[in-house]
Amino acid sequence: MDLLKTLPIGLYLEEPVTWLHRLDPRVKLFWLFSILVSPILANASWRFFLVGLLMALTITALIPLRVWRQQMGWLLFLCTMMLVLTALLPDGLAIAYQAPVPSPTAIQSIEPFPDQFPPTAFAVPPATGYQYVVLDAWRLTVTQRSLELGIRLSTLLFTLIYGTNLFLLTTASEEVTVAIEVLMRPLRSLNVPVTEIALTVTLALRFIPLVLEETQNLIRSVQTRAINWKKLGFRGSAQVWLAITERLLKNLLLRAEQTAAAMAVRGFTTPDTHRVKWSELRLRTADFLALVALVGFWYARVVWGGEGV
Amino acid sequence: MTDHTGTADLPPAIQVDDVSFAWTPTARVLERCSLAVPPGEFCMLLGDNGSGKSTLLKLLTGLLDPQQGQVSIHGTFGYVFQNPDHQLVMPTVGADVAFGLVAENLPLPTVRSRVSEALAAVNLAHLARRPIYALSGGQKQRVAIAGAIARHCEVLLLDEPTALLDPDSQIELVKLVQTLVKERHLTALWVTHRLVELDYCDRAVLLRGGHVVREGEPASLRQILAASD
Repeated sequence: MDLLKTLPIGLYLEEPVTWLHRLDPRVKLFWLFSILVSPILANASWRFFLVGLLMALTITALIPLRVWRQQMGWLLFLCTMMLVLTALLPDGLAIAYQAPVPSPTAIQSIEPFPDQFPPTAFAVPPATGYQYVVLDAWRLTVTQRSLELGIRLSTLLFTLIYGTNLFLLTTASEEVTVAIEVLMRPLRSLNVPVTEIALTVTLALRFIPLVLEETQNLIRSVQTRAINWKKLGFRGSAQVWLAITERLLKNLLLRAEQTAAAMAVRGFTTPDTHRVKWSELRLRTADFLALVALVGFWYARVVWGGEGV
Repeated sequence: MTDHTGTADLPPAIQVDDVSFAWTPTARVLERCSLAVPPGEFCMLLGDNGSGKSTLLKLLTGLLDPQQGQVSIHGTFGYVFQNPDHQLVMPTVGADVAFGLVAENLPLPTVRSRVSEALAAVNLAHLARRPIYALSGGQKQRVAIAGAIARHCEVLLLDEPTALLDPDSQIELVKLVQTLVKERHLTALWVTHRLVELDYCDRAVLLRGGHVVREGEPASLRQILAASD
């Protein structure tokens, strides 16, 4: 199906089977969670480290170039644009930039100089390389704040989207739900229907392509009717799209009904017991190594990655 | 009726006795319909649109209840829908084939071997990890059949499984089912509109006006239908 096959994110790569594929989905889920959470209150170096880490994982896993060029290309472009624009646009402080303390000459010129202070009381520490305005050329101004904001936004966007994407690229949908089910198992004691939730998520993941297919079919049906949108005007166009949306909902409900019938015929038991056994959850040596590496990851985050370091 | 399998003494694998069904009191779909398919036979069910073919299959699977008469299937059955997208419910091929095995409560290694065996039987062993959306129409139908085989079903009910396929995939699929019927001693009831598919079955049945009007050797039925067109 065209729409789905051309989507640049959220696809599962079945071949080649990389070392990331072979990791236990629970371990991958822990890593994903850590990669998504660790940027909170982190410094810029840590954020860049995460971007580099994700790229390094992609390269060492030998994910085919055609796949990550398609997926990472547009994302890198988007993030770079976000970094440049946020850095160049006003930083939102709306103040005139000035030195934080009076200059030594200004202090010396105070008349009469207060007697109670020794002459060295207002000595200004030697100047450092710090400058609030990082770049001021022509009409372009980059400040510390706008640069930091740009770095935060662009790296966060990349980490969130690409981290999740890399996880989905190397983990089959049912493995994701099995891992979630296993990790949610303690909630069973609180009468949370864990198996039902996992099955519902799995079925929903299968349903997404069907929704896209139905949407694509309806869009094609509109395209082939050569509707003169200009002539229809806003109100007429809205009516057409409303009718299409109604049709889409009807078709989806019909599909859901047919899927339910198929499930009944194919030996569906009950929602809270129908646990499809297919994915194997087994911690191997590589998984333990990955967990040890995760401890190291969090140690580095706490020691070096915090804000103000 | 010709006995192709040497199982003439056994009770029919599929039995439909005097069945009537109507969606509304004025719209009768099946009218005192009777049909028997012996074990090991590959039977094709033909008929015009609205003649009751799909309704009959739904009655056999238990999705509908007959308003009169009885239907019975001896042994476990698998059902293949016209549009495989309606019946493939899991995100990847292997998981979908394993979907029907939950009720048997098998250990994971057994499930995996049953799935591998079923996929090998439909020549898709190499696609166990593939997402369903990335399959072609013919491959989806094979996965649907693999789902039935994995459950070790004895009866296959197929509702126009080639309706959405190109001619090559159509013949490929009908040949595959023919082979499975012979090798695994299955009984298959295949609903179709396409006369070319009759070349591969053991017996053909023509449904018209809600009941069986003719049945017999596929070649003779094909000649009659071709002449009436």
